[in-house]
Amino acid sequence: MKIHVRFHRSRSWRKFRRKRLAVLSLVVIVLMYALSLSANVWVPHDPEEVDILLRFAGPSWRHVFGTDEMGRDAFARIVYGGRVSLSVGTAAMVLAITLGSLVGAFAGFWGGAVDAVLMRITESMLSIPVFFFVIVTLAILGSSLMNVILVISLTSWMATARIVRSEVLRNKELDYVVAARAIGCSGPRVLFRHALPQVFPSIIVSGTLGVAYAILIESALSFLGLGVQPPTPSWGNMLTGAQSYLWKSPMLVVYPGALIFLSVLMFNALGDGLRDALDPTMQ
Amino acid sequence: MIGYLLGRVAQGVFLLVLVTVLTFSLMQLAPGGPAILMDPHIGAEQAREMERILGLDRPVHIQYLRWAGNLIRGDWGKSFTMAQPVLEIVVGRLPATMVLAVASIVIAVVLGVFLGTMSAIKKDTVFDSVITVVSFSGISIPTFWFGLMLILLFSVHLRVLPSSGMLTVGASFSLVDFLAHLAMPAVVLGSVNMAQIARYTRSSVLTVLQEDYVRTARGKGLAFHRVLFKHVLRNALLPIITLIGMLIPRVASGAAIAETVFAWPGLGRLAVSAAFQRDYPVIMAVTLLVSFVVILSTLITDVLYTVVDPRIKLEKHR
Repeated sequence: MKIHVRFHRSRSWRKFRRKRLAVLSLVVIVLMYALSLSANVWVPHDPEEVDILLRFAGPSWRHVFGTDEMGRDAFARIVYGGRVSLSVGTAAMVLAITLGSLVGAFAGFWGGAVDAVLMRITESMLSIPVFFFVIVTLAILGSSLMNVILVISLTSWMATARIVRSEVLRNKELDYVVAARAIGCSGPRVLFRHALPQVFPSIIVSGTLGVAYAILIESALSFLGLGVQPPTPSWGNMLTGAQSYLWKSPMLVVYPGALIFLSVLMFNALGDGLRDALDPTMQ
Repeated sequence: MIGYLLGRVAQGVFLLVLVTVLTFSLMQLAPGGPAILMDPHIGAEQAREMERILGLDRPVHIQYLRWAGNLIRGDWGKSFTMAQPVLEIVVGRLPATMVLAVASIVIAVVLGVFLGTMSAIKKDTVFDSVITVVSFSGISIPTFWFGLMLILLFSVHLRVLPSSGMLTVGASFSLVDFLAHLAMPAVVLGSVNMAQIARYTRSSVLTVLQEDYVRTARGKGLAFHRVLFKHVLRNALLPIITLIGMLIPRVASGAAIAETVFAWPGLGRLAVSAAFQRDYPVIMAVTLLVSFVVILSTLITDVLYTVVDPRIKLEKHR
């Protein structure tokens, strides 16, 4: 059993390594996390330090990306903004896939009325324009970092729930689950110790794609002014009001958006690569 | 068929009720409680008096029924910031959003189907890789930034397209002017869906190309383009209708962003600016109206699909 599992894993690893884009995306993602999380060690400027005399400065040795509309160092803001965007995205994803996996696992495992109710809720969430409910909620409760994370995760668990449900349904009929039941394991034990671990690869894939989605939503909310609030920089809120200085200093608009694009692209590519490598039906 | 239709309509009604319950519950969370929704400038004592008059001291489900009854009668409350009934405001903004949404869906379907089909029949060529990269980028690009980049290119550098609004202020209406204003927001709103449709079409066409009846058609000497149009696309594209139905909620959500970037005078922009001014009745009304329209459109696409596709056996379907 052990040998078999290890063999399977290494085969997945070899398949993953063959996908150049996926490996590249993994490297870029690790670099982005490392650089943004260690920002206070290596970035020379404070992202919130205002210098009114040096507004809209062009690139120079002191300010490599120039300064923004309040004379703050654009490069420092991008690196610190990345820290916020990546953390919010990651936290929202963790909550979303936890919720999604639980909903999907319960629905698939217990079936019947539980399944019907949970899946109706999931479908309903997919058929209403949730973004408007997000706007309402943030307008009423305020845009604290916690609220932003919660609201994103509460509106993005549905895809995971569907995937986990179908995987659990498939595994439920397999011999090892039937055997676990036959020797008298309790329902929750069969689910959490036997069925769910088999579904783990799918959860990892949907988590990777989930970070991409969460970063996109966070940046859009922050851009609209309903997400991460200034002075805390995030890639999204650095673009708020960007249109007014699009004529004056276009690069201030180009950089943060390009980084959102890059990170979302990398997470999507990684998710795709992982899906191909981990999915046993794709061989 | 009738049974299916009734079931589908019942599902739509259930969703509508769910949406109102959700909105009503959110309203309970508003700072100062629901009484403040009527008039934000009242003191604590007046608020309590107001609550008695409005029946807010009654049980929650009674309050919900009263509120829902008002909705049906067309009493959607008054805006805090604009001296107009909320229903009038939101209904007035609806056409702009509908035009934008429909234009974006048309762009997404036409481009998506074209690119997806081309990429499938030219599988594993440079052309295919380019389209794959384009559609992959399409699902990864932040729409508001894509919009800003288009403004930078077409309004700032090339000066060929207007960067905001629906019509040139002060000018008399002309179709060219309107289309010039519509172009960028519609492309931005359509980009994500175009990418999804292209990816879907590619795999769908590739699957159908493997089918026996396609080989038969080719075998009896039909030209490739005839096989493509008469056999392949017909079968590969039917499910696209369902895909469009699934994308409609996202079009609505995306409209909030595209409209804000391009100052398009629709519901999405109204919701965002109302959120800033804490004009709760307006945000609520926009959310309700958008949900109604989305649920209705999804219902229509679903029904359309069953009408168009003769293979569907409704008895087995649900």
